[in-house]
This record gives sequence, C-alpha cells and structure tokens, in this order.
Amino acid sequence: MLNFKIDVDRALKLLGSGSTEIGARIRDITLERASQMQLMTPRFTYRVLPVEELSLRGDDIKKHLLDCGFAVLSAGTMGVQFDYLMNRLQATDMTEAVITDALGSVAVEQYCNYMMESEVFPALEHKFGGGVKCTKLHYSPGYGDYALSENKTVIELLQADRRIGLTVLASNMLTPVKSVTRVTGVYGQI
Amino acid sequence: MTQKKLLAEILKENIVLLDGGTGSQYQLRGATEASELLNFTRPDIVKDVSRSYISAGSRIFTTNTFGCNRLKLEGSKYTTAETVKTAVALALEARGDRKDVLVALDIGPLGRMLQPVGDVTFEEAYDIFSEIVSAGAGADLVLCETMSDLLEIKAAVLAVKENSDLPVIASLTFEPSGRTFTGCTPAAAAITLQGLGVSAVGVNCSLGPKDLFGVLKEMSEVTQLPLMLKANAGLPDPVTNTYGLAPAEFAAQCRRFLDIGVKFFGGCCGTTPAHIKELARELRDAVPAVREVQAVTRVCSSSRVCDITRPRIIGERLNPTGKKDFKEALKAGDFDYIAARALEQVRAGADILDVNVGLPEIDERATMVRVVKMLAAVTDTPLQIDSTRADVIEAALRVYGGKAIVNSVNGETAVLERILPVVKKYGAAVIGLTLDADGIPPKAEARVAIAEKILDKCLSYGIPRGDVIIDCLTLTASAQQSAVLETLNAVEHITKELGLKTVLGVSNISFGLPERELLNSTFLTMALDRGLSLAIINPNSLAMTEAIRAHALLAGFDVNSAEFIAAHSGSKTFAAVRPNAEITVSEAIRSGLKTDAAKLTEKLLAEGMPPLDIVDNELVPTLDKIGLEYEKGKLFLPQLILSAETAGICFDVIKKAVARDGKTAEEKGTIVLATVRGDIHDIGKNIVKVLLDNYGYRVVDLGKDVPPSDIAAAVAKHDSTLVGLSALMTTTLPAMESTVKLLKQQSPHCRVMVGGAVLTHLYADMIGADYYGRDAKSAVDIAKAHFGK
Repeated sequence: MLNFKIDVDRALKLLGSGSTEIGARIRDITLERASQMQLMTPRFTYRVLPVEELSLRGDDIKKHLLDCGFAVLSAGTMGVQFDYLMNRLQATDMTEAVITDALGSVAVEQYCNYMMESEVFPALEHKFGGGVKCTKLHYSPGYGDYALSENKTVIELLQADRRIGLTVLASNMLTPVKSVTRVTGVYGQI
Repeated sequence: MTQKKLLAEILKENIVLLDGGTGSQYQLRGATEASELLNFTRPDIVKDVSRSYISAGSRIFTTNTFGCNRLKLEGSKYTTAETVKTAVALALEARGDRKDVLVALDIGPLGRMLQPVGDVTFEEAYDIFSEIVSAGAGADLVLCETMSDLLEIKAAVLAVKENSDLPVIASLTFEPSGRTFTGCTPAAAAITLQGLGVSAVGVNCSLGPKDLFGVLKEMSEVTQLPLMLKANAGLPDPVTNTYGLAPAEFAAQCRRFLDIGVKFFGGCCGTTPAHIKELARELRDAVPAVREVQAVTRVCSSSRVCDITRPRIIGERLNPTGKKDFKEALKAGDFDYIAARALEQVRAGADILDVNVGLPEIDERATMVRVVKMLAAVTDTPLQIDSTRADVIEAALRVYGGKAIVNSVNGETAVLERILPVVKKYGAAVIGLTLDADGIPPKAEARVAIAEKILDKCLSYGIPRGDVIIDCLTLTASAQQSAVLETLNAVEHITKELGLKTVLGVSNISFGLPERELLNSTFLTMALDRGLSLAIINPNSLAMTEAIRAHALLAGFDVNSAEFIAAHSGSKTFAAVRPNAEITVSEAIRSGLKTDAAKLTEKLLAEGMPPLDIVDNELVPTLDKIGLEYEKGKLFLPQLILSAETAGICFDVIKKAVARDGKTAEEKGTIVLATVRGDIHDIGKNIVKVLLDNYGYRVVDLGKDVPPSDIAAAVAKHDSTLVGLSALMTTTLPAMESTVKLLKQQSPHCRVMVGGAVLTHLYADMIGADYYGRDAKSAVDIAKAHFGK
C-alpha cells in the first residue's frame, strides 16, 4: 500500500497533456488505474557511506558530492508485480498500459522521495545530529558522465538484489522496469 | 561408511545444523575483496571460517561458491570451473577428518533476472548452473539458496539432477509480505520443488527468524519434505550495515519452528559461529513435530496455487481445433492474440488454462515453449499442457515455473511408458483418458478398469495418487444416448471407490443438438453432483460458469454463499448494452467508447452500408483527423491510443462481416516490429503496433530483447518490406545498428524504420536506417508512404 497519493497530473503531463484538454474517458481511466496502484508494495533500501568508499567514476558525480563527507546510496522499485501488470495490460489494453506506465514512473520517484524524508533523513539526524543536510539533487547512474554501468556497483554496494529484488540487465538497465537508484550527498555540521 | 550413506544417516537425525553467514566472517579476518576471489588469494581465511562453523556444531557447511557463476565472474581472471573446484577442495581440506560433517556445494542466484522480467533465458540459466554443478564434484550435496524466482531455482535443481547424483536442498528468500520478490508463494515453491525431487525445501536470508514463521508454516502445510530455516540475524542497520540479533535471541526465535517440523537450522546474513553454537545449545535433544500433511491434489503457477478440493474450471479456448482465428494466430506467431484469449478466460473464471498448439503447419514444440513462457508473463493461472507428444510435453514442463497438469495419457501401455517418465521427472499431475487401443469402452466398469491400470502404472513410476486425474470421457448424447449415464457412473465410481480426481470435457455432450448450452450446463450439473472435480469448458459461456457457481453454493463449497453473492451483486451481466443513439461512429472512436463504436459499426452494416465504405468514409478519416490533432498537440498520447484501439474494434466488426461474405479484407502490407536485443522496454514499440494494426497493416510483433538474426529471419519468412526497430536506452543502440546492418545484407529490398526515446534523425541516418519515426503517428505516415496506401 502506498503511503502517498500518486501525482496523477504529473503522470498525465509526462504523457504530453500539457496544453491539451484531458478527455473524460482518459481521466477516468487514469484515476481508476492510479487508485489500483495505491495497493502496490514498492520496496526501498539504502546505505550511508563515506564518499571515499563509493569508488566513484565520473567527474559530474564527484562535483555533485563536493564538500560531502558522506553519501546516501538508495534504491527503490515498484517491484516485479508492476512488470507483470504491464505485460497483462499491453496484451489487452494499450491505453491503460501507456497510462499505467507513466503512473509507475511518477510513483517510483515519489516513493523514493517519501522514503528519503520519512526514513533516511531521520536516521541521518540520529547519526549526525540536527545540522545535517542533504543535496537537493539526487544523482543517478546515467546522468552526465556518471555511467549507466555504475548501476551494477550501486546494486552490489546496496545488496539490492537480495534486499529488494533489484538487478541489472546485461545492458545495465535496471529491472524490474520501474526502479530508481540514487546517490544523495550528505553535508552540513556533521 | 560412504558419504552417501552418511548423508542418509544424518538426514535421519532429528535436527541438523548448517552453517551461518560468511561474508562478514571473511571481513573480520581481514579480507578486502569479493568472496569468490578469496578462494585463490586467502584460502586460509576461507578454511578458517568453515572450521569455525564446524567447531560451533555445523553438520553441513557450504563451499565458498555463492557468487561463482559465469555472469558474476565476468571480467574476473578466474573461470567458474576453476573457482568452484578450488572452493570445493578448500572445503574438503577444512573438513579434514571430521567425516561426520558434510560439504554442500553452494549455488546462489545468478544476479540477473530470468525472462520475462529480466534478460536471461531459462536455457542460459540451466547452462550456467550446470557448469557449476559439473565443477563441484567432491561435494556431498548441493544447497541452492537465496533465490527469488521459482523458475531460476528450477533451472538450478534440474542442473543438479541432470549433471550429478547429489541430493539437493532448495531454499528461497522471502519478503515481509510472505512472497518472494517475483511473487512466488511458499506453497507454490514447496509444491513445485517437491515435484522436482529435492531432498528438502526452505527459506534463507530475507529476515530474522521470527518474521519467517509464516513462510515455513505455509510450506509445512503442503509438503512432507524436511524443511530448512537459515534466517538473517534480524534486519540490517542501513547506517552501520550491521545486523543486530544476538545469538541467544536468534536461537530462541528458531526454537518455535520445531512446532511445524523444521529439521535443518542455520543462519544467513549477519549470523556467526556464535549463533550456530547457540542454536546447538538451544536445540540439543529437540525433536521437531511430526507433520500431518493432507493429501490434496494441487497444481500451481509460481504465484498461485489451485487446490482441487472443489470443482474447478479448466479453460479450453487455447486450442486451434475448430478455431480459425486461433489457427491463424498460431501460424502468424501472433502471441498477443493468444494472451488476450487466455486473459479473457481468466476473467471469466478459469482456474486452470489448457494449452494446445498442435497444428501440422507449425513447429509444435517450439511454439508450445514460446506460448508457455508468454502465458507465464501475463497470467498466474496454472497451466495444463495439452499434447500427445512426449517431447512437446517435456519442453513445456521444463520451462514452466510451477506444477502443471499433463493432458493426457490413456490406457495404452506404450503411451503410458512414453509420457509418464516425463510427468514424474517434472512433478506434474496427469490426466488419464479411459480409453485404450480398443477405443472407448461403452460400459462404466470397463472404463474404471482402464483407470485402475493407469493409476497402477502412475504409482509404479512414483507419481503420487493425488496427481492422477481420470477423464471418464463425454460421448455425444445425440449419437449414444445411453452412454451419458455410463460416463456419469464412471465419474462416481472413480471418485468414490478409487479416490481419484476426475475431469470431463463437457461440451461434446450436445454435439449435433439444438440448445447446446442448456444441454451442456445440465450435463455439467449432473456430473458435478456425481463428484466431478474438473470441468474442461469454455469459461466465456456464462451458463457454464454459473452452473459451477450455483453448484458450489448448493453443495456447500461456497461458504455462506459469499462468492455467489459477490458475483451477482450489482450484476449487469445479462443486460444488453444499447448503443448510444445520439452519437456517430466517428464520435464514439474519438471518445473511446468501445462498446458503442462496435454497435454503431454493426448498425451501419445492418443498414446496408458496404464495409469498405465504412472504412474509407468513417474509420480512416476519423483516425487521420485524430492523428493530425495529436501532431498539433491538441490531443495527447493516451487519447490517440484509445481512439486507435476503439477504431480497431470497429475494424474487427468489419473484418468479421467481410469474412461472413466469404471475402478477405484488403492487405495493406506486412511490417515486422521488434525491440532490439538487450532492451526489455517495449511499450513504445507496442504503441506503434496498435496504430499500425488499426490502420490495417499486418504487424508481425517479435516482442522485446530480440536478437538481430531472429528479426532477419522473420523478415525473410513473412517477405516483409518494412521493419520497425525500437530501442529505449543508449546502451542498446549498438544492437540496433547491428540489426540494421544484418537486414541490409540479408534482405536488401527491406526498408528499416527506427525509433525510441534516445534516437534522433541524425543517429538514424548514421546507422543506415531508412526512416526515423519520431512517434507512433509518424510510423503510420512512414508506412503509408512506403506501401503507397
């Protein structure tokens, strides 16, 4: 069960709703699918590591973590159930499939934000005290010169395969399909 | 005493202790590299950890091979074989003269997921595991552990069984929800793995012991096999990455598992020799409870168990016999059509799906494997493999992540001897038809005799009684009226006297008679009353599913009538859907009103409008207009797709009408579509497919992660002049390039359009593609220009 409401409007925007009027039928389908997705069980795991233990490759990620002594490595996934749901929908109703796909993209990001706020940040405060801060931006393999292949390292460090069932394909894409890996810098008075 | 005998002796003991976590133990002793490498660089550490577990009381300990497989060792200077051999040798040295201790070859998950979620095929997985098993000679048994995909652990177990004679313990990892990450339930795992002949099943890793009780309890209710618990020392602290459950508490939590008959105890992440020592103390002289497991006939997919403790529906529609569309779909490789037929039956109430792809024009074996894999990707309804060929049955059972039913054998000795070994090997259930070389006996007694022969033969192969299901055979009432009661008598006798489950294909009863549904449902009710367990029917026939529902209520299976009431509350099933008189076909398409659009198309046809006029004057102009508005940003993607799908329904109505007139619809051209190798994101390709389909092109959809050679072969086979390739990520663009190259070599007449999130016109030109499709609409424009219509 999701502890937050999926941002339906953002999902519709992802699909290009920007300036167009959203038909009643599409809105109905979107709300119906979103309410069903509220019942899903996403998974999340994280670790707090000194930056030097990340053995980072890429200038952009190093810049991102400049002045950060520690980093939060995190991963979230909507799980395999979402993949199976997409398989079913794509075989029966592409409209629902396309909408669900967008809802999944939005939901997994929202979920990771929610977990960062509700679990990770309190744990950081507990460890480092009230002066701790996190970088606003979350960096992911595939951004800038932080190569997609680094997903493999992130998953190994997190043991994300055995903890939340998250793995990579030979092409370094994450699987299950709606999954996110992130590196967040930790700084401030710690 | 040989190791084998010793193992048998150890298995007879009340409690057997395994080892605990190793990774943190290696680190504690100064290891800094990946565990597998330590076999070469720090053998002293590896042996020391093993010895510390032996001293703590472990009777079985694992080799340091958890991550030793071809995929995980990629880029390492050591091969799988060398690493495994070295690790086994170290384990044997560590054991020394403690001959009462056994060495388990440890096989962990591949680290990459199997299809359909991941990109590793079942066959690849089997190969990789076989390599480990072959190199693992010298171990006394095998522990397959920490798996979350039932199909992956099945590949591992088959690799052990087919490449060694070692016993195997199979263990999965579960989430707090009580399922694995892939949705596998403990019961489905235990049922399937028991069928495959493992020596014990269990759970490892995951959580602390107390949170795993439910998982092992569920297993304990469906299998007689010994059970194993190898839990973590609680949950890890994300900040310190350590596990907090102290040895005494860990052992105390494990004690409770004696009540459900757990015999093998050990630890996983965060556990230490101290935990095992504490377990030894806690469980000294303990005796696990003896379990009474009810002998219930069960089949399952990896995530759903179907208990045949009450009448169940087997959907019969996945079968080409007498179905023109299904035959065409099989020949064209249109697996989406088959998926849709499967899901339709599941929605209508099918508990099990019969799968038959026997058609002389196609490769039955290859098709069956593809269909079984595809079905597992879209539905969790258990399958029934329907074929007369042992090789087809075996190929299907092999790649199925669950326990299927085999349909069928009969009383002929040759048939039994051909099929039953396969049924036994994969732990399936089997349907036995009460006929033999002399045909179908007219009298019930003779059919019972055949059933007895089938049962005896099954038992002699080690197939449990509960897995034998007898088909008493429905004969046509119009031709053999007196035979109807003979069939029912046989059902009753076999149910009551032999204690076996029975099955009937129902609809044959009414062949050649009017009011078939009435006869079918009446016969079904009569059979249910005699004890019929499984009905092979068309679940889309409301009369049939309703008969089963009503029977379930009246016979007391549907407790408090809950299911019946739920099925009928607010039910509009019987109400005819009336088209909205106010709107036109075009408006229905635009608004995505599928039912209205179909009815309105039918109305136009009934009014005498020629089918082609409807297409040319109504459907295509509407789609074109919608396409244009999409391009201009007035409509957005879901609206475009919804309209295209709605138009598709109108096209189907027209196609049927044209076929009724004995004509065929105009073929605009065949387009092969695929998402390239390495890429499993195929929603973009599927959007393109919907549009092309509904513009009247014939689309051959090869799916996702498709190797270049398969695409080239499909182009040649279908003589297609246009191919669409999709890729989502930059990492799979090279695969797109090599596919274009191959196509240009092998089918120079063929044009290639490419598309996908990261593609640009420039890149499309660079890799030699003929067209760049910005979006689904532009793919249609390309097809129009290419085919000139």
